[in-house]
Amino acid sequence: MNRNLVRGLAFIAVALFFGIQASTYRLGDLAQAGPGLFPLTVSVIVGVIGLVMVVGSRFRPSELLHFNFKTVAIVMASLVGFAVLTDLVGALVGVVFLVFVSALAGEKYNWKLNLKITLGLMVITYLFSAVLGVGLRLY
Amino acid sequence: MEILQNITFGFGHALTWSNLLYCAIGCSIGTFIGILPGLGPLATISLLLPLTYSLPTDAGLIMLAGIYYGAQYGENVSAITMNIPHSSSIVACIDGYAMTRKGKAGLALLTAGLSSFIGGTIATAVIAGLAPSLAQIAFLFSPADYCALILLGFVSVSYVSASGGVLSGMGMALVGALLGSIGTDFGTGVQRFTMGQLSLVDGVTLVSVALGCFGVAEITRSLDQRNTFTPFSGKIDMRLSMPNFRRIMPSALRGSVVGSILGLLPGGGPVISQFGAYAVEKKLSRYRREIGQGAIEGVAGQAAANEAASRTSFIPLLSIGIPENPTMALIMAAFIMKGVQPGPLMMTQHPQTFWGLVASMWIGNCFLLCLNVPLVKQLLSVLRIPFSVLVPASLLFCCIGAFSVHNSMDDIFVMAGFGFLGYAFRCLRLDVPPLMLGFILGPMLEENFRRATTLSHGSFVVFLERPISATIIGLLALLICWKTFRFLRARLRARELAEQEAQC
Repeated sequence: MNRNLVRGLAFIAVALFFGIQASTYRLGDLAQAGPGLFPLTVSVIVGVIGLVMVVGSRFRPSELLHFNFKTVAIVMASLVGFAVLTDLVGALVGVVFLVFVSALAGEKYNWKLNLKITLGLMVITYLFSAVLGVGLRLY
Repeated sequence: MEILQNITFGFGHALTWSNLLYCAIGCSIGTFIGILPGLGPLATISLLLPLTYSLPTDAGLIMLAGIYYGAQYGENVSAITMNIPHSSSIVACIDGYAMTRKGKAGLALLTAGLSSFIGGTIATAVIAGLAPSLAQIAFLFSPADYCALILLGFVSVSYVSASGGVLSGMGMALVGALLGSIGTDFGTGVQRFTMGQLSLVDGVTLVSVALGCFGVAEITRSLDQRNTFTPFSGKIDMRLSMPNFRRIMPSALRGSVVGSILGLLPGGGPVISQFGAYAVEKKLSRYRREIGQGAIEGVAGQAAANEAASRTSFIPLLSIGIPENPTMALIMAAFIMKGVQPGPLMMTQHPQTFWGLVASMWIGNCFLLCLNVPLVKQLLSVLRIPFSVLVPASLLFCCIGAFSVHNSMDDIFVMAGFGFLGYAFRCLRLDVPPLMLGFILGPMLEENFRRATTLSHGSFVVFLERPISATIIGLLALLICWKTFRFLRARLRARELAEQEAQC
């Protein structure tokens, strides 16, 4: 995929997302600006920047886009899993999930090391709630 | 004599045991993190921001500031010993690493440490002298003037972070402004872009954005690259001879001046000041021919400038209330969470916070020189921490950090979302720091713009009538014209060159 083209398209997507919503809010005039005026103006500028980039990418040599879906997916899964498990069961279970899932993104999968890291991070989580007063439910 | 009085007052506050302790902790954490590749000061400050909630106001701010300027020194260390560049130590890799290869690593580190001390001392004096008088001027600012100043910040940040081009820098800053407008509109109470989510009514939490875009995204990115580093194991000889000292001094002084000035300008800070100082050394130094091959001057000038700029960039935040670079935007968030509004009123409303912070900056300098310079070998062992431990630990800290702001799980989901966005931006080679600044400046711009046009009954003339805003807008126009001219000229030259080559 051409990186310059995707860049422009990304900006246009953001501009459309915010611009369409902003145009449903009251715009008002300059003397009495409504909630939609500023976001709509900014979205239009972002959209123009995106368009310029899309057009510009036609004249530039294309660069390859590297996007590693596996790594992002693993990191996202470990974060969301931590949050859900902490909400349902408690942070100590969440930590187990976080360590063992995020390790999937590494090169080697080492059970013993993961177990040690989990224990260490459990202690740290406990310290966070006991000493620093973070309101995480532990178990 | 008022300055002296104020400074003694500040030292009185900074020299309590707890504040000294937090200052030392901040400097050491900053140095540690600066050495580590991957996590920059932005990620570190956002990671530790939530930790400061439970600290008293002054101690928390002193610690955060310590992290920021401590990281400058740490970045120099890993650049000099192992040729690992961070955003603000690209220049240090040239001469610093060349010195290490010549077996003079100790001298290079000592030069960096000493120059940082000199730069920091001068910049701290500049803050103490300049910030109060600038605050007096800031009282005269009307909404229109603030508007112009914020616009200047927008434009200059997109020029400074030029790795992806000016257009993409501007685009990112504006996307940040759009993200900042999520939540309840301040003027009318309308809920904007909340998509019916109750957790977004108060807007997106800044900590979640910062932790996602910098913390999570940088960790993910480093997982991609899979690079491991072996710590530097050569000899470090920290003795300083008189001739070397004589070579350090003039460069460090020049660097401090360059850094102090560049740190003050909007969009400025350590990242551009290193290049400025290096260029000055190449022109003015007596040993300019040696620069590039491991000259003391090449290390001293930029280290002093880095350290000076990281401090003087506090001035616009403390005296006007406008953050000029992304790191300052985060520090501003810390101030606001502590109930201190940075700006002209701060010096009269919270004098102990202001002067304590200024004094702590100089004390932090001494910590860096006395603790972190001799202990550099021990600090370098931080690189022995295996990646497989660093990744889950940092992810856990990110989660706890995001959660602890409102004790809400929703913030972790928001952070994960921004982590994904931040990673995507990095893959597209779009700089994320302008987004951060836009996120803070955007709502400020909207508020001041609406105030200004309401006061002027909807006319734009107000921006050109007021002397301050007219000057700033004039400067902006000049800046844009000059940059466009240079860009077009460079394009033209490149085309001519290509044609000549085609003819040959």
